[in-house]
Amino acid sequence: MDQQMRIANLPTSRIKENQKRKSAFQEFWRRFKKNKLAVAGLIVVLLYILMAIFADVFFSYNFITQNQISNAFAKPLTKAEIDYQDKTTEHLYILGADNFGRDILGRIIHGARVSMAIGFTTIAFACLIGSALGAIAGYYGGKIESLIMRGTDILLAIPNILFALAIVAALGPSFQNLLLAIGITSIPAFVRLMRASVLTIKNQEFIEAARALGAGDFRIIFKHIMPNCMAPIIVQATLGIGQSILSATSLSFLGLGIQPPSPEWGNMLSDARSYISYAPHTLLFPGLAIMTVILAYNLIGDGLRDALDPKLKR
Amino acid sequence: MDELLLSIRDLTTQYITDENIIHAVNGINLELKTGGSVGLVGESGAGKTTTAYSIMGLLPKLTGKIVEGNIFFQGKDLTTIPEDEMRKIRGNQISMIFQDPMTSLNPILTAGDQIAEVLEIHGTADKEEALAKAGDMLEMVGIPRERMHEYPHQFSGGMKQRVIIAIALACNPKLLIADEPTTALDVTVQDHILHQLKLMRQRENCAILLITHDLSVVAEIADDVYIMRSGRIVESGTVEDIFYRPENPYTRQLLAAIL
Repeated sequence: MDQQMRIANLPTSRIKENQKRKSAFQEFWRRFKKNKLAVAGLIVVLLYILMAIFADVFFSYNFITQNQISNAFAKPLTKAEIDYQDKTTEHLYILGADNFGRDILGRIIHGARVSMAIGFTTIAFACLIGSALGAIAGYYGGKIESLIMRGTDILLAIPNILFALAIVAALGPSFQNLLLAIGITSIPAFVRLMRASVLTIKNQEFIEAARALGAGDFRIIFKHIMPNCMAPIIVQATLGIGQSILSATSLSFLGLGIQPPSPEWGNMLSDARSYISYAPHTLLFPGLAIMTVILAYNLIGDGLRDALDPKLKR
Repeated sequence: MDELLLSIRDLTTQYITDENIIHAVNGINLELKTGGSVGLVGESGAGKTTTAYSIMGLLPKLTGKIVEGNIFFQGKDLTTIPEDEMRKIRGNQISMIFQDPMTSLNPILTAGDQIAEVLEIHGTADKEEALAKAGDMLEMVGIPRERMHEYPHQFSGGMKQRVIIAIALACNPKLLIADEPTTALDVTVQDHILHQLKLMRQRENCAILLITHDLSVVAEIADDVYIMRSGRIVESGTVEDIFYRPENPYTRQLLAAIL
């Protein structure tokens, strides 16, 4: 009787009244949206993603890869006659035409498709492999750790672009090889980040407690340690997408990425480079596209860092 | 009822580092009956926690080593059985409660998930049953079952420790090792937790090995007391013996400290 009274009087019953439970995501979103620049970045990225998904709705792929030599270097907002599918029609070049008379806006929109695809797949690949390797290195330590970490040190010692160049040069320029090259060069950042986070988490008492419950290594690493290390990884992934888009455009600029006539921002710049004084708009717009996307990803990354940092919790 | 559940014989545990060997536990003997309750008391550094880790097989892999002695649990020698068999015993037949409830729960899993996890690990229930059982366990330790969807930071210190007790008892273990379960808590909350442990012991017939530096805590729940110092048991006996007829000067010192 006495015991039951005591239990009934525990502090629980007082705190019980339904405080609205906020999910972790709602809490995160509340903090993220305070950062206006990050939200702007998110909007820009979403616009580019929508553009990439609906690229065919705006311009057909055949149209933007077909030469219209008579309209070469058309200035932005000029109307010109084009021959397309055996018909002669009027076409408004909103952002002008390049050295083959192809619509620059159309090529930027289709180029977004390539860039977004590269950004997401390479980082997904690097993030999966890098975090798993980093977690294993951090958790087990010893020889396994030395092996993994020296491997990443070697990767880090080679300049990214040079390494990607070597892979693409060895395997031949193709979309898959480009993904592989950029994916591999993005791995080390994730390995180091994950290892560092795991080292701080693995000595905490709840890991020992999980072991005392009979949890095996696999469960401890993937259920208890890794989810607790996600915040820096998410930030790194966001920043990494920007970086890998930049690497892809650099490689294409050097002629080792996406091959013309397929539209890609890097090879658009590369084509237009010779005409910089005669037709600067052919260089300006693809350049702006690259810049805005990378900037947007970096802004989101900064916003995520602030929103996910537990020390800044208010 | 009177059979031996845990029997430690001449247990000697050392931490071996490059520089030297630390003699943490030096040949201790300890017995615990099924459903019984034993207090292991001593100052910090006496080897209490090392004893607990030796039983659980959780000594640090690189440095900690049981050099001598045996730990018999239900007739099996825990010092010789392989790791994967030991893993089936941990959390299932022997559970452990750690000192600091603030850091013993995974911050990103809900209370319910963490209770359900131990049931999943030992394959006693599928996901749905495990969550239902988790709710039951929470109610048993006096927390409304609606709160199973909340995260550790939404609980107070005392409630976290009760969640931890719920986790430890979810698989109906035969033995619960409580390593300073009340040290990090307020005096008033300490009282609730000790009550909880007592209640659980009666309800689940679960033996308790209570590790503490506080003799008054032992008086609350233990039948027998072992006083430990510098890795040795200096005195042992029933609570009455120790409290009213202490023989060892160190025991008298400890008693004087709480009066």
